Amino acid sequence: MAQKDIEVVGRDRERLVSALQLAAVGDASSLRIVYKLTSAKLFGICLRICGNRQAAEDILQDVYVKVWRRAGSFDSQRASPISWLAMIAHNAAVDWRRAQHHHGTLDDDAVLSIADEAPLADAVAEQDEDRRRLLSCLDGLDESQSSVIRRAFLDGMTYQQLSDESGTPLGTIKSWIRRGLQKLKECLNDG
Amino acid sequence: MVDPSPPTPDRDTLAAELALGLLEGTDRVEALRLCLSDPAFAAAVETWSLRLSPLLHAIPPVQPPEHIWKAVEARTGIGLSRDVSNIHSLRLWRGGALVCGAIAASLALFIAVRPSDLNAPAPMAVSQLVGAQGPAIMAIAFDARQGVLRLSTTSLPTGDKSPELWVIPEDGVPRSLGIIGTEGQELTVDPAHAKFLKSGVTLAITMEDTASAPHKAPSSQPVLTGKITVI
Repeated sequence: MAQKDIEVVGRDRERLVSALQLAAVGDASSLRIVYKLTSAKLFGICLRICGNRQAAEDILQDVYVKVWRRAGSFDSQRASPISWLAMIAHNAAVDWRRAQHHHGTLDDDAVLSIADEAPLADAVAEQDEDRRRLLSCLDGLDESQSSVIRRAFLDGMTYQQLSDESGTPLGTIKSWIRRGLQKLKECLNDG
Repeated sequence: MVDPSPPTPDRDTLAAELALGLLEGTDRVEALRLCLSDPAFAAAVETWSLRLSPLLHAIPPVQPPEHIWKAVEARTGIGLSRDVSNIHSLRLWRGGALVCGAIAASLALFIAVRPSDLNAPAPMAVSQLVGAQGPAIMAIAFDARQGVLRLSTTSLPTGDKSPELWVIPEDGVPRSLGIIGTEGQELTVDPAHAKFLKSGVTLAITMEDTASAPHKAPSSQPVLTGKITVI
């Protein structure tokens, strides 16, 4: 990647950090900046996990209301701003799914157009050290472990849903995930 | 297929399972309840969420419809006025639970210079000042147009001395920006000093005698220091 692009990414990140800090002291225009920089990304996450456009729109609203209320708890020493925001969106979308008792597959046309993440992952990985480390640690796991962890997290699926979908016994799925998570933690802590 | 019994989950694995969204029904309810009763567990859930969050960066962005922002404005009340009082929301500095539990609030003070045009590519300056002893939380936003610093509440020491804010530019000479209260307030910056609030300069707070302020020079070690960076 060109040096210039890396600088742009770095600057956006710092802008986002400062906007979150300003939002924390009640600066309304800063929330607007956070929204402009991140809403498409967070909407993508909500859509992917909910699989329902209307729900994703409602959740996205909730996410930014939460960001406004809780910007003060963002700690730039601990997390990148986009990871922190993505976490909020992910949790809100998973909360919604668990409240729906959805056991089916994703059901909205909008979601069908979402591409496989692999090619994009490579492009993004260049920009993000945390992501690069995570992907490299996931690569170190058994294929069965890493794929089921990714699937759970990226699609908001429960143990039971993963088991039903793959026809793999529940206990096996749990073993894969728990052993995988243990190894993942060791790998991330070593790095 | 043989179904081996999975390893019994320890607390940290349970935290990961909640963070991943794997749990449902009573398992999920139990884990959420644990979040409320056990701050260490809540912190572990958040640690796992942040660990895995970079995976989400691969999901392609989708532009949300216009009306979402309007709704956010309406629900937060920020659409009513450009200059919603900062003071009422300062309590937010105490932070809140995002996954399920409290996040340790960062001990930081920062100053930010707002861009005069919000759509401009942001000449913002931000600094995090870290306390030398014990947790202190303060946020300062600098409105360059009005020359006003807006200060949040703080847990700086109380007593017969007051916190005095200093800017220390390239020449290394501290200039007093004035005494700040321990409650949220506004502080008008001397225009002669406002020009120092830029990239690379150090900000500091020392505890000083109230009556004789502002002072020519600090008399004690700073309780908070940090540097401004312009973005």
